[in-house]
Amino acid sequence: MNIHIKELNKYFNQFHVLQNINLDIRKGELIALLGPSGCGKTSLLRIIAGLEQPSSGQIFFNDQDISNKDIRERRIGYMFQHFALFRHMTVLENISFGLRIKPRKERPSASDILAKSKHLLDMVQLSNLADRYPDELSGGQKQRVALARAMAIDPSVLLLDEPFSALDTKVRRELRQWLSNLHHEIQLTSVFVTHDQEEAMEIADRVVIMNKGVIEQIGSPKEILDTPKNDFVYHFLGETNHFSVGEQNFTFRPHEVILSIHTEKVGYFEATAIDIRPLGAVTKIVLKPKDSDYPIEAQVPNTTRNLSSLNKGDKVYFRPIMDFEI
Amino acid sequence: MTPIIHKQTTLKRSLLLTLTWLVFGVIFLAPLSIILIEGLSKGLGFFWHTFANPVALSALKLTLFATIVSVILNVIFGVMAAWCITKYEFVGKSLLTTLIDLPFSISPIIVGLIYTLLYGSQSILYPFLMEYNLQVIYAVPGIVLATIFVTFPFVARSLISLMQEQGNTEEEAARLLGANGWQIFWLVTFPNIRWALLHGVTMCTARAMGEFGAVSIISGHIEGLTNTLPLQIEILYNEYNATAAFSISIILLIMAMIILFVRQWCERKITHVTSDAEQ
Repeated sequence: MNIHIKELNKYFNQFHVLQNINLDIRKGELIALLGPSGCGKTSLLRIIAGLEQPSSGQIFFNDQDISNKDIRERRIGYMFQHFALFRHMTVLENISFGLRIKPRKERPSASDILAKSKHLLDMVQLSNLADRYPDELSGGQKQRVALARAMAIDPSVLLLDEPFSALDTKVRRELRQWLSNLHHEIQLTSVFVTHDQEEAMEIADRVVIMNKGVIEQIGSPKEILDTPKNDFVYHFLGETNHFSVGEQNFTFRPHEVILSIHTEKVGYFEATAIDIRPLGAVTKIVLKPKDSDYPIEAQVPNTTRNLSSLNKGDKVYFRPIMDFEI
Repeated sequence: MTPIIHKQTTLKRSLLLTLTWLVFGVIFLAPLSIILIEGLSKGLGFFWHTFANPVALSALKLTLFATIVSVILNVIFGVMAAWCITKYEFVGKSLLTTLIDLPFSISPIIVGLIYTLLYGSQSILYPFLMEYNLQVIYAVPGIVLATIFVTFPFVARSLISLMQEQGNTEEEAARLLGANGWQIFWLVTFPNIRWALLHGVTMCTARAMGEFGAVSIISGHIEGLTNTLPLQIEILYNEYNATAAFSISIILLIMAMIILFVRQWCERKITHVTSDAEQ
């Protein structure tokens, strides 16, 4: 299903949390709403779901204006940040809830409900935990139950609020990949909110970068990384170094720097290595440029020649690769 | 070193425990046992006679009636108030939250006076009430009204803190899955609050059964008609019939003990549920 959001505004009292939002989400896409906390991304998700009303503007699902439609007519699969599983129901009861409460005319037979719930349990690989209660599950298991419960009503769109934030790092990586694969399989239009740029870049088809209630940029992960539209987007997407010499200003990422231990070449600046940290595939080196008070961070592959002979306090020459001049 | 410290703490501990039991004995146990001793001092026959007397029976009936009606109404109002306060944002919310506690801080005798003035023969409402033949003061409706007023906070209070702690994402999840308001309440909210609700009900029941001040002013003390058990006890006592007064006290005491055990049981259920939620 396509989602079309047109000139949407939201005020909380005097606070303008969403300012003139225009966004098109294409059928089958996996979209990330990315931004720092308080940027309005969760409000936007809740408005799409119908949990909040916009102050003005419209939302279309497949050309149909649903701005004034009740939540129950929208058929939204929604996953809450802390999953919001029904604590007094078993896993199976949680998953079948959306089917069991349907009006009698639309409700499938008890055996169909059971069959469908079991199928969903298989899909999220939790068949052996059908009779457990939510407080007997790990974070990752809860997340998968929440997903299966949302999928039970054959949603027209899947909305996920910070789906991985309540999980620890290792589980987060596994589930991220799993969710991405699942999305490819079922091709359901999905929107997820995150403040973690790595997460957005890794699984989203397109990323919507938001800041202070406005959309700063919309694009594929590659477009956004290669051609950040403005200062905010550039800074938000990763570590940044600033360095100025005379009239020249340089802004560059830690990996966008070449180091040399040989004496001055053209375009290289002198610095002292004040910290060296091997981090697996790359080594992080903190440099204190000779003509600047602010340290800069360089990340070089650990296979870099002469790296092993570099010690704290040594003189080093560096050259920013990309001149992103501001 | 350790044995000495250990000895000291044991000493302190036993001293404190002795003191606690002493205070408990003087303030609670002694009066309670006197009720039993006095109430049964003229034998079981006398006890039974006092209790089987139509006036006492009518007082017991009225007490049970006023208690049951006010508990039912307070459950309905209390759940609605707790629902509004915890699930919605609205103007005057903090005022409402404060006002719910008002009956805790107002002396019951003032409540009695207010109702007497509001529904009594000097009130501007009185002719209107008479038109429909609605006697509020010195009648059962007044007693029920006063009991509702003084017991109102119990149900709402027990629910508000728990419902605030639980938040409303489960209700939102149910709504997104297609549940209507009725289904949300019965299938999601109610199972989460039932023990707290029962706890509130027991507190409310205990208070309603024992209410004296407000009811005393409103009832008019008509024996066999508007006397509740506490009022009947007062009348018997004033008639120098202490044994009978204590006999009836025993009935109230037994009812209170039953309620206390139910409450204890609910509290255990609640701590079990919340400790689950914290994991």
